[in-house]
Amino acid sequence: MENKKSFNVTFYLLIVPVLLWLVLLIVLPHIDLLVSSFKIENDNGDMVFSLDNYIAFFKHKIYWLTFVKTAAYAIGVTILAFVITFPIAFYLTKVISKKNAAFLVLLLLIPLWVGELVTVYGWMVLLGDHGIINHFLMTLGIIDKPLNMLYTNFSMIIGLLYMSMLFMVVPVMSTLESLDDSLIEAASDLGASKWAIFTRIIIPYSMPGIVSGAIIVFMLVIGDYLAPNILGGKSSLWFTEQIYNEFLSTFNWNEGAAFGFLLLMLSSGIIWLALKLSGQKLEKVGS
Amino acid sequence: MGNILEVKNVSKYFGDFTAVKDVDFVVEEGGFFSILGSSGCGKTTLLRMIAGFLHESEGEIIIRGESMKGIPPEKRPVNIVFQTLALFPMMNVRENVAFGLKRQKLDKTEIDSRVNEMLSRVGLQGFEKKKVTELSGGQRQRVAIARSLVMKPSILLLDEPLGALDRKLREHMKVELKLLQKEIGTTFIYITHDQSEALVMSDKIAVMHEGQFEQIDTPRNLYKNPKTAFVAGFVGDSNRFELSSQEAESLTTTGGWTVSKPGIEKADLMFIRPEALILYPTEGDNDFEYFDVTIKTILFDGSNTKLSTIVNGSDEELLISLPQNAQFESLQEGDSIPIGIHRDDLKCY
Repeated sequence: MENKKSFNVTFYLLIVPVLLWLVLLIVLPHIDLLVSSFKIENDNGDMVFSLDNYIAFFKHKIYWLTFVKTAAYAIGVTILAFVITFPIAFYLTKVISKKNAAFLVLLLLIPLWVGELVTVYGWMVLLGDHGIINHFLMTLGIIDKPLNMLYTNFSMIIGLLYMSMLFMVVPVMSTLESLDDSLIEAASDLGASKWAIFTRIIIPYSMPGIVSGAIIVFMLVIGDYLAPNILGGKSSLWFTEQIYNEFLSTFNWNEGAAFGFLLLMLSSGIIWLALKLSGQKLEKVGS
Repeated sequence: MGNILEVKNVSKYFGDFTAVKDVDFVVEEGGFFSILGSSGCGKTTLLRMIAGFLHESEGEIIIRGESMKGIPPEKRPVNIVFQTLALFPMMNVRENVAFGLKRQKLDKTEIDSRVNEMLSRVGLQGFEKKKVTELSGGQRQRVAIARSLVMKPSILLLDEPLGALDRKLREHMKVELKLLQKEIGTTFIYITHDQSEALVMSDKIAVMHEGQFEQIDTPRNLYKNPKTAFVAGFVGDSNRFELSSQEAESLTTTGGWTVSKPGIEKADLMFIRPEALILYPTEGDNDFEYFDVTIKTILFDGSNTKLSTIVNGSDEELLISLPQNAQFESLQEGDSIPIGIHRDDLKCY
């Protein structure tokens, strides 16, 4: 009895900060946003219940086009992040020695130390009309007019990729680390080609890591504001920018709240679909 | 029956280190061939060269009359059962066993029938849909063997597959594996450091030491007539004596025990098996050496019980097997008892 009591006290002491965090910073603001997303100001200046905020979204093409585009680009960036980082993760875990790998991982992490804003400005220096890449290409005589790279979808995708890629490397590396090399040898012994080993053994084995990396990358990208805002041009609107505009430019908080909820639904929906399609369970991916 | 595998003067170097040195042997079709050696003796390196994961530095490996030089693992008519089993954890039992056949692009009905046949042969029917992670150690073992055997390899290579099992199950799988091999008739090459596994299952055993084969022989011959001092000491239990002097037909150990052995050439070591020593012998046979020992302690271990004794008139310790029957029950520490041994059982090197 005595023991159980003291356990209970410790348990509550530990759970209280977590609950406070969840309730005060996540649950309550979201409830408030949800409620305000269903309210509009009527002619008398009173707040009344209405679906108008959501209807406005579907009425104006620019809103839902941006919405669809954001989703499509976020999926695209996630896939690109996987394609680029999987060979890196494979190289770091299976090809080189553990000691060298630790050093290279450290190098990979450096961009995270300086923060997203600095790396975004770094890309501006590289990609601008008078930037380093254009300067070199022109000096070498490959082009005579600067390539227009900055303030396009291209520069935005680069920025989004750069900021999110690492979050794919780490979970994929951790599943690949647990992949016993003898599985690869066994597959090869049973007559599997290199391609079959890759598609039938390595990819299925690392699926939990890939999916958890994909979820993180996708969430980061779809909710990112800096890269689309700074690196993207006028044509590359991102849905987070719409939300920002509603809150801070037009001061229509109710519309902004509705947009925020739509984005939450969208990302949750896509993740649910991705989990279904890849046959993974959230518990397994999360561990 | 012909030779299914010929290993011709194969060596393997890793930098300055020689892992396998000039190994030369043949394996007959349908046999159970074991390579027995302690860890680090080069047996796994040899197996991996036969499987094609490593390339021999010198020599040649020939399977069914064809040189395997430059042929990658996936194209060789051999399959391997790994020490870790290496079952594919994301697949169920059926998918694991069917993996190799699917790679050959066989049609579905043939794959199904061969997988079913193999699963029933190893006693796993009804387990097709089970995940391999849900199986017991012995069942996983059988999946790994079925996955390789379903490919109908010329040779099945087994890299200490029983190592991870507990003792009881290992004893059981030993017999099962031997019966399975007899039934299907595929040539098995089995690698182990456990001499009991090798002795029970094999038709032929090669004892490997520091990259070289010491002796290739039947289990009985290996035990009865070890050709080298290493084999005598490694296979089975032995009393080991260093010889200090040798005169005409008598040998004296460093502990001062003298035995006579006619026709002996120069020797440094003598080995005596504990069970070759006879308690209370009927004296008078000229081929026998007779002497007395004093019992120091009785090391009780069921059917493996031994007497630790001192040879009277010397410092030499001698372990003697003690049959667990009523005849010897009255033996006690400090007793002096007569012992006899056939001189052929004094193995000198």
